[in-house]
Amino acid sequence: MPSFVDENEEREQQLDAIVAEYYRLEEKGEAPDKSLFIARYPDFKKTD
Amino acid sequence: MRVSTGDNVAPDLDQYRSYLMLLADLQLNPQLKVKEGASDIVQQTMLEAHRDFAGFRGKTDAELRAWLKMILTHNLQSVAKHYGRDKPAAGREVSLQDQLEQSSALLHRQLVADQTSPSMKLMKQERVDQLADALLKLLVDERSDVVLKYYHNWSNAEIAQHLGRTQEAVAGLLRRGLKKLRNYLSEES
Repeated sequence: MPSFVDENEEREQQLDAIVAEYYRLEEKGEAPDKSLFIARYPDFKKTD
Repeated sequence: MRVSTGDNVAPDLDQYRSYLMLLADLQLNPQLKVKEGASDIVQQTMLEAHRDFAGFRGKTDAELRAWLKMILTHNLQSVAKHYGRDKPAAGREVSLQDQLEQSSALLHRQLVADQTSPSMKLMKQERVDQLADALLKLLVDERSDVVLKYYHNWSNAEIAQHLGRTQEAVAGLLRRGLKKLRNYLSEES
């Protein structure tokens, strides 16, 4: 059974991947609308 | 904060080493650091500060920081001149020199030059010092990524390649670093 720490770490990694994707798009000159981009990931809406 | 300068004996200048390292990191082009390390320039700055401390007329911590930054700026400019003078045929070196000179000139205007009233200058310097102190509280990896991204305007891909990280790792370090910076700066303001 995964511990709370494992779940938290997994969530952090998912968030890093999402942020990295945003940076990739931004650096390609294709930065999406922030609110639309955030809306794609409702589970992370309240995370910084 | 006042500094003890009795008998023109230098206080413990080593406590400013990290601060100067950060400023040198901010000013040096990261590619240039392969040849001319920030630590070498800071070491030279510390040696000159000890040697010339009798000439320091300030009394406060802020004045001492400004004086150290002036010496550091001079040394950074010397590095720029060195690369420009010794390798005129190398286009890349000239480009690095240009970048460093621009950066040093900006540092000079921001931190040293007397272009504003003394009170404005002090306020600006305090803000720079606050940001520098906040950056120094970050983890080394967080700080290097934040500096490359937001000071040198590198892309995440460039940072990832330069530091041997994945872009996801860079994104995470930036995210956590910026969050900490916001917290530190809001605590101080």
